[in-house]
Amino acid sequence: MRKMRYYKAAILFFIAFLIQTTILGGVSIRGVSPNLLLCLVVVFSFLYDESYGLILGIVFGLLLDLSTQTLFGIQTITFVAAGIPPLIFRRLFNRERVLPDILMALIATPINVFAVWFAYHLTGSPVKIDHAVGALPGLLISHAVIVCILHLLLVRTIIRHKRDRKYLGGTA
Amino acid sequence: MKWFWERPKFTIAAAAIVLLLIFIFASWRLSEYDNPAGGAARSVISAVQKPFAAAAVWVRERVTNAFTDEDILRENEELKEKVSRLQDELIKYRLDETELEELRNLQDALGTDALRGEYTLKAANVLAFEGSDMFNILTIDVGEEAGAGRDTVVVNGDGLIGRVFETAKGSSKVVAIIDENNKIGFQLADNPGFLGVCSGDGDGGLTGVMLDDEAKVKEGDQLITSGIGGVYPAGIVIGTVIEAKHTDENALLAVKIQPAVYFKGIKKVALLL
Repeated sequence: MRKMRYYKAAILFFIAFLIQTTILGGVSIRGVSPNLLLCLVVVFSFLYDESYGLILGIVFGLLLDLSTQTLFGIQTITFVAAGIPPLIFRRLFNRERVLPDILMALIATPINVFAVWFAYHLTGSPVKIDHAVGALPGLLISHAVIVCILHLLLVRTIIRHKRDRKYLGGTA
Repeated sequence: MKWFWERPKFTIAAAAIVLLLIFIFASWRLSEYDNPAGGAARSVISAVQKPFAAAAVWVRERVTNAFTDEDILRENEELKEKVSRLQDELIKYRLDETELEELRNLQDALGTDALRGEYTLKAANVLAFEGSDMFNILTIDVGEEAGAGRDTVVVNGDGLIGRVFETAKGSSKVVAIIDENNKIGFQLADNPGFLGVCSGDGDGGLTGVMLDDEAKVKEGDQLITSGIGGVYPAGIVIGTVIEAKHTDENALLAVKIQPAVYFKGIKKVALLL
């Protein structure tokens, strides 16, 4: 698979960070505000062999926490947690396909929502779990759509699967 | 140990999670103390966000309107007109000197001095907004250099926005009144004797209870801050009652409130210093 240079990946994360904090944070449609950075972490962790998703997820997660959270590190920890399933499962799936990537987003979304709720709950926030549960269907749909778009934009070359009878080892 | 060295990505992720858990715990337990490193980083982030903030508000409004029904938009416009009319009426009902004196005495009794000083307004731009289902936090471009500090009150032309939670050079984080973590003491604008407490309902509105179970509250009543608690001074418009009812026989009278401020369209705010 074609590699992406670190600076290009960092630019993408930076743009996503700006969109997340200045636009998406204020656009709540039916109570749902999608998390673009979380989607990027999932897609990058799934698609690329390098640790773009994890490392850039930590860097921009910390910036997001500094910018918009009252608990420092809370979004970052969910980005790290969300980046681990794609690292584990990507060997089992054909990364060229979009469905496994969407599946990773569907795993990452509840991790993000409930981890954030749980951390605030432990620190005395009165926010009820109903709100986390209520937001989940909308977030799952919006994240699936965003991941689908990102996947289609970023996948440009064939990734050969080990079960492919023409598989020669390595990546194309 | 060898197991960890053989799995570097897993080790990095696990180490990051442990470190972040320490950060979260520290930011919770030490939230009352200044964090110079965090403040400096936030100043840089705010400087980067600033050029995009105005354009972002424009995009935000267009996107929100595109997903909002025509009827709701029309109703919103009607409500804005109604709010404007009610605010004119409110001028007539504003706390008179006697009532203010009573509130000052009450503040004295509570040991706070929120009403004693005079406030000056400091304008600020909204740089970022975290308006998820669970939290509502704004970042503004005025910080400690202008005198903003923890619990500095933030308003705009329509009414109360919230209070400063964290401040750094060139930026402050504001917890909006529609955040569930923010409790506000209120009173009826046309009957200051009826007091209550409200907070965000998790859906962009406010919900609260009247402290006096016999309080006469009806749809359309305007609510203003009571000043009790010491954070918010008395007399700032909070919103309009859209529903008042007992949830069960023994419960206090519950009210649903439409905030006076349209949070998704906030561009400029003012700090009470």
